[in-house]
Amino acid sequence: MNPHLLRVDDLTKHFRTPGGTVHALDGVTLEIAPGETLGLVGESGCGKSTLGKTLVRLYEPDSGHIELLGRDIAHLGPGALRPLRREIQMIFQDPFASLNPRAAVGRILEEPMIVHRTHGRAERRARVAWLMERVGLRPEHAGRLPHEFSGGQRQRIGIARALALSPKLIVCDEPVSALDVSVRAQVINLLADLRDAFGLAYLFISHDLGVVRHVADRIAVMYLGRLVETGPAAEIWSRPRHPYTQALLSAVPQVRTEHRRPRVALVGDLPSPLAPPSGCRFRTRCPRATTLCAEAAPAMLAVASRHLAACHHLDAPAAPHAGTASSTVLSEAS
Amino acid sequence: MTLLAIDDLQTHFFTRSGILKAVDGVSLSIEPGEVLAVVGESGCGKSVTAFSVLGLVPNPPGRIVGGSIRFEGRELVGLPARDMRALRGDRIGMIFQEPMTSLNPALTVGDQIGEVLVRHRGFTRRQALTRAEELLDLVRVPDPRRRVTEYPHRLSGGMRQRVMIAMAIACEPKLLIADEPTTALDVTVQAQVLDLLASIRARFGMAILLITHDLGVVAETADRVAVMYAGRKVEEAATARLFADPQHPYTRGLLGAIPEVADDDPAMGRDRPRLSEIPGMVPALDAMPPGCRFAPRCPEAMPVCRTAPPALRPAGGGVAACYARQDDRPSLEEVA
Ligand SMILES: Nc1ncnc2c1ncn2[C@@H]1O[C@H](COP(=O)(O)OP(=O)(O)OP(=O)(O)O)[C@@H](O)[C@H]1O
Ligand SMILES: Nc1ncnc2c1ncn2[C@@H]1O[C@H](COP(=O)(O)OP(=O)(O)OP(=O)(O)O)[C@@H](O)[C@H]1O
Ligand code: SF4
Ligand SMILES: [Mg+2]
Ligand SMILES: [Mg+2]
Repeated sequence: MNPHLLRVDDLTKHFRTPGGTVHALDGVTLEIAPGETLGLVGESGCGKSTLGKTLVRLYEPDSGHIELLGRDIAHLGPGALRPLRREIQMIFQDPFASLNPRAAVGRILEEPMIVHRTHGRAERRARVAWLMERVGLRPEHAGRLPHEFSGGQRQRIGIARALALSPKLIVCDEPVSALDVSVRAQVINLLADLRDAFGLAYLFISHDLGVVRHVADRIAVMYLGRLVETGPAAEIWSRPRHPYTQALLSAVPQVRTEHRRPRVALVGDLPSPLAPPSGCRFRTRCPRATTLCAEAAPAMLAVASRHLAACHHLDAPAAPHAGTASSTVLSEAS
Repeated sequence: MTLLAIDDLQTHFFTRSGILKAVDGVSLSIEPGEVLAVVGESGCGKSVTAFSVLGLVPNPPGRIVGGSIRFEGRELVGLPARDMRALRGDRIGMIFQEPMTSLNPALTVGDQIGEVLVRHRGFTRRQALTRAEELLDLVRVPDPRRRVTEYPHRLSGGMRQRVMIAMAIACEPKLLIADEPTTALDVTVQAQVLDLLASIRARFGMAILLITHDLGVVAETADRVAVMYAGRKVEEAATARLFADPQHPYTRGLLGAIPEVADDDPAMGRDRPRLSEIPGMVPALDAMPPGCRFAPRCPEAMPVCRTAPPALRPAGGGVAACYARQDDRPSLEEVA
């Protein structure tokens, strides 16, 4: 038996644009076990959605492997891909944009079952009602159009649609980012219930680190198209090793004072993915960077059990404390 | 003297489907140099409150129909448009969530910042450009000399927000109204921008009205917090008090709904406790319940809650509008 539901190996995806080649994904390797939730975090533009969309084959990878249930689907043609497509579904940040505005909800939920010829007509009707109930919608609203639902309800529709074919893995791309706090908690709890009921695995993409810490078993941190650190969620949270992960976690505003970390200030913005820095891509903002970092890309190395990080100076002393870091920046400015 | 005093503000929208009471009797005050955060979910009236202060409520369909807004002792409701324009960008600065929509794509960064100084301070273009460079340096934009000649679309989101801040503080305002200033930014950039605002506030003694839905941001930056729900203020307290001992059931619900995990907590994924939820959703503005607007979702609701809106009363060191927090709670007969 394959212990992995999904195994991604050295996945690369570049976009050729008029401005140049966007290095959206460069050599990403990861795996997800059945029933596991892998949280994927990183700044805007680092390639999270590209990874998600490549996994469900909305994007064609340039190279690398995507092994789903032991079969490499990275380069399968549409016919051979079809039966495996069911196993991996996706939900998006903006539920409205991903739902056909002119189709009734019942029809939207039936669609995947029609396309994949998985259920007969009567079965489909029954399943639509069951799906709606399962995600907390009223089955008698199956005739309504998407705009007649609130944002949180639309996200429930997106979740129900992803569930229609009983997948084993759902790629959730910022599923709660557009929702208000109170509704966000409802949807996070719903995703947890569905995981427990159906043994679902999730790739949970979010820029909200608090949410990711809450839902994930493991966390992968991405920077400019590459993974820089992966490990058990609790360990990434308590003992982040990569300087980028440390900076990211220290920047999360915390409600409770006792949860605040000394701030590791990052200088500057994310470099352009059209021309990523040589060597370690983080080096232009990294407080520990040396000439070695510009010369060679660091490999992902084990720093603890199931915990990997890619950095030449993992054991350098911790980055400067908040006070010092920001006052340096301030004195430069004034 | 209180810098800004909003008293019983009523800002309504007159739409085809009826009158929307987007802000329905909100009072807020800010002392000089203070940071007051206004939090609440989408649609609760935060931006409309800010627009009311700035005289920017789109009319039609919107209008301030009641209440008063006093800034440095001067009444702003009913102030002629040109007087309001003279205040905006001068004594009152403003920054918004999406800097790109507030920046003029056809003007260089330098001219954009300089324009404020030309208009309010009578600077020449030359003087204004020099000052723009200093301001960019102050908001920690690297290489300001080169940046003043660039157009906004060349800048990253974080840089644009800094340019907005430079414009907003060009005339050293006494009050900065910041409506979701970091919502569109990544956390690392958000941290930079919040640090920057804190240092500018200290340097100029500027007060900030910070509008956000991020309670973490509030906890780390505000002196005082007002919580809004469906067009009304439901609670207000000093920041530490509000988070340590929230009084209104809505505030309590919000705080419980945020996943915040301690550094050393080993529980992950399926071992984590469920988040507490606030059931249901915010009522539509044209279908507000008659009593407490939170009553349909409130775990503590009592019959009296559905009769008349609760008034703000002292509770837990601040004020809260909730019958369950009022020891001298009126009987049903009294309310009716
Ligand atoms: N279809 C496309 N064509 C060209 N470039 C693209 C395309 N899709 C994504 N990109 C680029 O690839 C990079 C990664 O984008 P992606 O959407 O994967 O980032 P992300 O991590 O999901 O960001 P966000 O947090 O903002 O959603 C970005 O520079 C983006 O501009
Ligand atoms: N121009 C307008 N016409 C009609 N209604 C409006 C208009 N502008 C705002 N409203 C209504 O006023 C209410 C309050 O809106 P406001 O923008 O203040 O919310 P908010 O608290 O800032 O929310 P968000 O967090 O989404 O920015 C909303 O229900 C909105 O629909
Ligand atoms: S490899 Fe170098 S630049 Fe990259 S994170 Fe480590 S220290 Fe920083
Ligand atoms: Mg994305
Ligand atoms: Mg708003």
